Amino acid sequence: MIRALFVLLALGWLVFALSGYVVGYDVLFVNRSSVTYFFLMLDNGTLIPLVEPPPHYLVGTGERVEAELVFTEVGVKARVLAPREPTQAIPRRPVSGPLLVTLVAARLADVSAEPYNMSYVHDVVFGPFPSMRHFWEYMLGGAVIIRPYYIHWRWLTLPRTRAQYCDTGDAFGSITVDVLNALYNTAGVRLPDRSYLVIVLNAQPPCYSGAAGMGTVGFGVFAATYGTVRIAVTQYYHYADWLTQVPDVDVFVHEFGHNLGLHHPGTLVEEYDNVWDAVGDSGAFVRLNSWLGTTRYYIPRGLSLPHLYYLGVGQFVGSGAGSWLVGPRSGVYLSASDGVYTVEYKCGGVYEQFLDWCGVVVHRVSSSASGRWVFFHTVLNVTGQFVSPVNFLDVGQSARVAGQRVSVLWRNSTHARVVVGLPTLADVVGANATFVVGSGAATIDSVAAVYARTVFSPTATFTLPVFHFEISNSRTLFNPLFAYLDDEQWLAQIRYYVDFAGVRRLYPVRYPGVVVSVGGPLANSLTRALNPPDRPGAGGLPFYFDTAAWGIRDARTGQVWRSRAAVVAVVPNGSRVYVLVWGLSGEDTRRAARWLAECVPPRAYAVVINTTDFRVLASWPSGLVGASVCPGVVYAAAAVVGANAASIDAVGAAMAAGGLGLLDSEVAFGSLPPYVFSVGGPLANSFTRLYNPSDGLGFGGLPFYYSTSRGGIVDGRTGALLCTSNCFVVAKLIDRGKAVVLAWGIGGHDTRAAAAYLHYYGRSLLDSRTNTARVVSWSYLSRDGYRYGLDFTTLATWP
Amino acid sequence: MKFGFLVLAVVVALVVAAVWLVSAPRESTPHTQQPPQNNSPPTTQQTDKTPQQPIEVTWQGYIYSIVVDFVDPTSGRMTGGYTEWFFGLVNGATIRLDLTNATVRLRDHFAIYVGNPDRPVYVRGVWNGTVLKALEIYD
Repeated sequence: MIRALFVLLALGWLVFALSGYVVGYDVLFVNRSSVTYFFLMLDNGTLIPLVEPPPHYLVGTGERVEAELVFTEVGVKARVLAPREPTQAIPRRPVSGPLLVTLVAARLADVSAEPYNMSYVHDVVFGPFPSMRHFWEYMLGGAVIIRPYYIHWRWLTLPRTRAQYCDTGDAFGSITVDVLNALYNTAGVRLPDRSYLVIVLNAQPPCYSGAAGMGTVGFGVFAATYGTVRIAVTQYYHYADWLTQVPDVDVFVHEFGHNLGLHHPGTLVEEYDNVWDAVGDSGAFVRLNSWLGTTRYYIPRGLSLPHLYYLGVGQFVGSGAGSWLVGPRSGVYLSASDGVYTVEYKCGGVYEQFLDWCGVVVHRVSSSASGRWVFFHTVLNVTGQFVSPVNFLDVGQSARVAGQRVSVLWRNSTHARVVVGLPTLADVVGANATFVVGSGAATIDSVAAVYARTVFSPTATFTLPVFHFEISNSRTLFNPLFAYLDDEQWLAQIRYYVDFAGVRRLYPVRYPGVVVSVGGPLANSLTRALNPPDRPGAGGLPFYFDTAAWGIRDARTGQVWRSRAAVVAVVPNGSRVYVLVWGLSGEDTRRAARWLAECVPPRAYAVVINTTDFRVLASWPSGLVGASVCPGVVYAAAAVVGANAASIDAVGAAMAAGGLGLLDSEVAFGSLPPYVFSVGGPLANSFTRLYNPSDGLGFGGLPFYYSTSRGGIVDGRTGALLCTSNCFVVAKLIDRGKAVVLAWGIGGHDTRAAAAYLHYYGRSLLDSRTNTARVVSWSYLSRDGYRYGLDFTTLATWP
Repeated sequence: MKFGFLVLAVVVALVVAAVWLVSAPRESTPHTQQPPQNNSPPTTQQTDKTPQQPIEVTWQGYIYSIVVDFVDPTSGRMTGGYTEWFFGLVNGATIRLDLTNATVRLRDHFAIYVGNPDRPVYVRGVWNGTVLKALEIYD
C-alpha cells in the first residue's frame, strides 16, 4: 500500500515537474530517404522519445521546455508543452490590417503662423524612416499597413481662437469636432468609424500650455454634424520653433501608441521614464539622411515586450526557471504576487540601434484599473527621476526579479541568453566573459585563462564617452579590456541617470561580462572573496580550501582531496555572475581550465574534478559524480608566456587568443598548433627572445627590438628610439609553416595592451602572408576620472 | 384671476414632476436601461453643463481616455501629463468619467476594454450632470 502510494507520488511528480531539452537525430537510408527521431533529454541525460514532433525552434537549442508523460502502446513517451501564455495577466489586443489615417494641419483662429509646409507634415507622419507610419509598421512586423485615408494638403483654419477652445471645457474634443465638420464642409470628407485622425496644430491652446501632444487611448466618440464617429485622434501642438528644423517624430509615434491602446510604461516614480519604449520617453536626437540632405530628427528607440505582446506581435518563449534565448520581440515572463514580470533584450533594430546601450530590461505588468499597466522595473536599485538608462542588465550581470535570479550570460546584436534561476556550469559555457587572475600568482596559474578563453567569448560591449548629446558619440566600442589582475582598477562602462533633484549623474559599472576568476583563494583575492578558505563560499558553495588539511573539502560530507584536484564553480553574487577555476597547485588550476575547454560540464553549480583523468569527484548539487564527457578539442592556437613573467603577461595572453596555455619552458615547436602567440618581451619570455632578441634585429630582419641601453623600442632601420613607455611591438612571423605572433611591450601593462590591440585591430596583421610588424603607442581613454577604453596610435610599420 | 391660478397650478405641478423625475431612485437593469434623456448629454461638448442633483445610475457604454503629454520645450523630453476618462454611451453620447473609487469586476485585463467599442461595460455610479463617478465597472 505504502509502496503504491510512493509510486503514485513519483508519477505525479513526473507529470507535473518534467522538464528538459529537445534533441533529435537523423537516420539517412541508402534510398536517400531519412527519418528524424526526437527526444526529451532530462538533466541526467535520460532520453525519452517524443510522441509527436516538437516545434522546430526548440530542437537542439538548449532551451529548457516543460513536458508531460504520455502512456502509449509502445511505452512511455513525452510530449512537449507549449510555453504557457500569460493570457490572464498580460493583456493582448492584436491589431492588424490597414489602419486608415486622415492627416490635417489646422490653424487656430487667432494664430496665423504656418510653421510647417505640408511636405514636412506628410513626411513626419507618412514618410519613410523615420516616420510615424514607418515606426509602427516596422514594430508590428508588417501586421498593419498605415494607409493615408485623406490628407488635407493645405492648412485648415479653425473657427475658434485658442482661448475659445479652452472655454469649452474640452478643447481637445472641440478642436476634433471642428476639424471633422470642416473636412466635411470643405472637402465632403466623412471619416470612417475606427479610423485615425492626426491633427497638427500651429500653436498650443493655453489650457494645454506645455503640451506636446494628446491622444485618445483607443477610439473616442465624437459628434460631427453628419453623425457620431468612433475614431482615434491625436493632436500635436507647435511647442517650440526648433521643431521647424528638427522633426519630433517621437511625439507623433508616442501619441499614435496611445491610439493603439498603450499607456506610459515608465517607473513607479516617473511615468515617462522608459528609454526603451516609445510610449515612455525614448527619444533621442539623431542626424539622418533625408530628402533635404541631412536632417536632425528626434526619434523613438523601441517598444517594450508587454506592448508588443498586447498588439499581437510579441511572444513569450517560456516562463520561470530555465535558460532562455530572448530577442527583440520575444522574452520570458515570471509570475509574482504583484503582477507579471517580463524579461526582454533590446539592442539591434532600425530604431533600437540608436539606444545608448544594449541590455536586458524588465517590465512589470499590473492588473490595476488605472490608465497605466506597464511599469519599467529597476533592477540595479538606482532610483531617481530618470533611471531607465541605468537599470538594465548587460552580459554577466545578474539581479533578482520577482523572487528569482535573472542572469545574462551572452548576447549579440539581436538576442541574449538569459538564465532564470541559478546558472549551471553547462549554462555558462559560451558566455561573454572577463578574466581575472591574481596579480602575484604564478604564471602557470594565470596562463590557465588562455584555456578558459576557448570556451568563453570575450566581452566586447558598448559604453558612452561619458558625455553625449548627439548620436554621433553614442554607444561605441572603445576597445575595452576583458583581462585584469585582481588588484587593479577596471575600465568602466558609463551609464547616466537623473537623480531626484533633477541633476544628471554618471553611473559607472565595471565592464560587464561573466567574470572568470582563475587561481585559488591564496593566489587570487577575487576568488578568495567569493570562495574563502575554511568555510563555504558565496551562495552556499560547499567546496573550499581547507588550510588545516591542505586540500579541498566538501562541507556537506567532510571529504577532503589533497592532490590533483580542482574546483570549477558558478557563483552569482551581487549583480554579477562569476566562474571560479582553481586547483590545489598551479598545474591543477591549468588542468581545471583545460577541463572546461575539453569536456562537457554537467548541469551543476560546482564540481570538484580529478585533474589527471577529469573525473568529477563531487558535484553541487549531488548526483553528477563520474567520468566526464570529453569529446576533445583541436587547438588552432597556443599562447606562450614566460614561466617567470608577471601575471599580467599571462592574463594578457587571454586577450589575444584562446587555446593551449603554455610556458616558454614547455614549448616543443613541432607540436605547436598553427598559430602561436608569444606574449611578453625578450627579457620575460625566452620564446619571444628566439625571434626578437634585445639590442638587435630579429627573425627575418624584424627591425624593432628592445634596447637595453636606451630603455625603449628602437627601429633598427634608422636607429631611432621610437618610444620608452606606453608602447609595444606586435609582429607576425612565418616560421616553418607556423605563424608566430609576438606581442610585447615595455612593461606588463604594455604587453596586455599589445594583446588587446591584436584582438581589436590585429586582423590585417594576422592575415598577412609575409613577415610584418608594427610599433604602436597606446593610452587609456578617460574622462572625469573614469577609464573607459584604449586608444592606439601606430608609430612604425615593417615592411 | 382664475387664469392666473390655473397657470400657477400648472407651474407647481411641473416643478413637482421635475423634482420627482430628478430625485426618484432608479433600479438598474443592465441589459435594457438607456440613460435618461435629461441626464445623457448628446455630445461631449455638453458635458460641462450646470451640475444637477446627483443620482445613482447604471449605464452601458465603453470607456476611453485622452492622454495629455507635456514636454520640456528645449530638450524635447516628455516631462509629465495626465489622463482624462470618458464614457461613450450606447446612444452615442459621451460623458466624463471619474474612476477614482471604482471597483472593477471585469473578465479580462482593464487595458482590453479601454477605447474598445467591441468591449462595452456597465458602469454603476453617481451622475451629477457633469461627471459620472464610477462605483462599479463590470461586463
